Amino acid sequence: MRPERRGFDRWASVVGAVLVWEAVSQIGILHPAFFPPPSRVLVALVLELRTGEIPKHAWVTLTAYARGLVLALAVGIPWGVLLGRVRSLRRASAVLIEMLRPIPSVAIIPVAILLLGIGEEMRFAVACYAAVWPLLFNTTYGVYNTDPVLVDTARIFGFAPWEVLLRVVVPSALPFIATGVRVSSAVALIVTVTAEMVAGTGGLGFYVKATELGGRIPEMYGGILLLGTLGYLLNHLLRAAEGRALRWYRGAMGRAEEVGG
Amino acid sequence: MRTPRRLPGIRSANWMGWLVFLGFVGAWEILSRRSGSLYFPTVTRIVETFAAVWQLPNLSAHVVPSLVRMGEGYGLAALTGTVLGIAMGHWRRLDRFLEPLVEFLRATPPPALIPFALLTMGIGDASKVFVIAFSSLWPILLNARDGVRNVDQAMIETARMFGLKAREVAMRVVAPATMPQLFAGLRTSLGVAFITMVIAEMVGSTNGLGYFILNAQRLFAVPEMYAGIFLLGLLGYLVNVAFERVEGRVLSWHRGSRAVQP
Repeated sequence: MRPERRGFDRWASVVGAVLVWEAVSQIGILHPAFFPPPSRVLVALVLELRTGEIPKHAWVTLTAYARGLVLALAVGIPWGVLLGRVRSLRRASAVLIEMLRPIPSVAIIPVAILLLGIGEEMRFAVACYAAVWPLLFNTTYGVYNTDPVLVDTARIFGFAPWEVLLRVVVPSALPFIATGVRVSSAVALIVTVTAEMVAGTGGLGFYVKATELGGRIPEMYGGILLLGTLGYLLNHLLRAAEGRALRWYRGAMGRAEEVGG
Repeated sequence: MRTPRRLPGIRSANWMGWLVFLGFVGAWEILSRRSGSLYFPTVTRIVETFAAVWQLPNLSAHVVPSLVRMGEGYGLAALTGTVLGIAMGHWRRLDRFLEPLVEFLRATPPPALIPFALLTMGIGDASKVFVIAFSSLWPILLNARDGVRNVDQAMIETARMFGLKAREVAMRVVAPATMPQLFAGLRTSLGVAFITMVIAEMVGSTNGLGYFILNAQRLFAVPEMYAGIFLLGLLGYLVNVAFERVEGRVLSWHRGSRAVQP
């Protein structure tokens, strides 16, 4: 198939969906009060961008998400390496972790509200808690499955234990860790938005809910559109970074098992 | 390539793990007795509350609606995802056509859709079922697609050479070969559906477990809140075990599935 034809295929569904929505709403098959045409949504979105209303909320969401994810990386990866390497620690924590694991991470939002109130700290803490799990599981799993022959070889060549860790164990677990980062990123965004809806004073989740309650429907769609775009861009960014970091590792993408939170 | 080892689970004999768990529970009990804080009830108090709260009235008022919503949403996602995923795996052009739309919708955080669902479908069950189905659709769809696409071409050619008709090839070669990956998607989606159920009930519902724990927090009924959270953990665990049972049955012929069974 010619490349331009592929390009057409790629865009046809998005453009087509927008056009169908526009037409259906303009004709009135779906009530325009509930399903405003995309043109009106776009106008509303641009207006809100220019007044600075939406950027303000987007910034609140992104900071809580990013702070939560970064702290989760700092905690989840070293912890996972430890559990993957040290058998006694793994055994000791197995039951406790397996007991906590099935509790959906959003269920701790009420606890976080009790302890931290409804401000930014609460949302940051919840995002961090939720993002730690996929990182912990994927890192543990990847480290646990390091080829023992590689480790022994490095030891025979006189590598110190920390060199073995940094130059053999962690690189070989990197595909799994990268998967963990991607899952954690998605989870952190979902949980942040949920917390904003449940007890928000700001953020895009709060904005979408407030505009719905206030009957500002085109603005609500604009907020949803922006959240979708954010999720898409963040996922794309991480995939690109992963592709670069793992260029040496062929088939990395196919091997890592996704472990949800 | 070496087959990756699974981490030892909860059901393996592990006295050290249980000891640490009991230590955690004991430490909670002692610390909370000492602190006497309203927000930090003792384990005994939570267990008592758990037994008192999860009786028939609350089970039918909150647990049953939750499970029904989740079942309906997940079932809808399983059906649509499998059919659409198989179609996308079979027809490359359809896949290329839909992929950008799928990539965008999949990246949208499901809670963002709750206000939309409440607006267009009302406060009833339909809006919650929609959001649960929407969020759990993608892992099933993508795994079904990849599963169909990755079927060994040589197997299909061989089956054709032996004179199997297209329908027979689909049912006896493609379907079984797709099954393990389809189940991987179904398993991921089960967790997603569970979480989305809680989210949807927290944001826009007047019953269900998600509503129950958030409402308990708002009323400062702290032991009730913890009792709700622990019930969620228990349900999450049971749902997973049930899924593993079904998967073990369906995929018992498949080598890779043995690792799943305890």
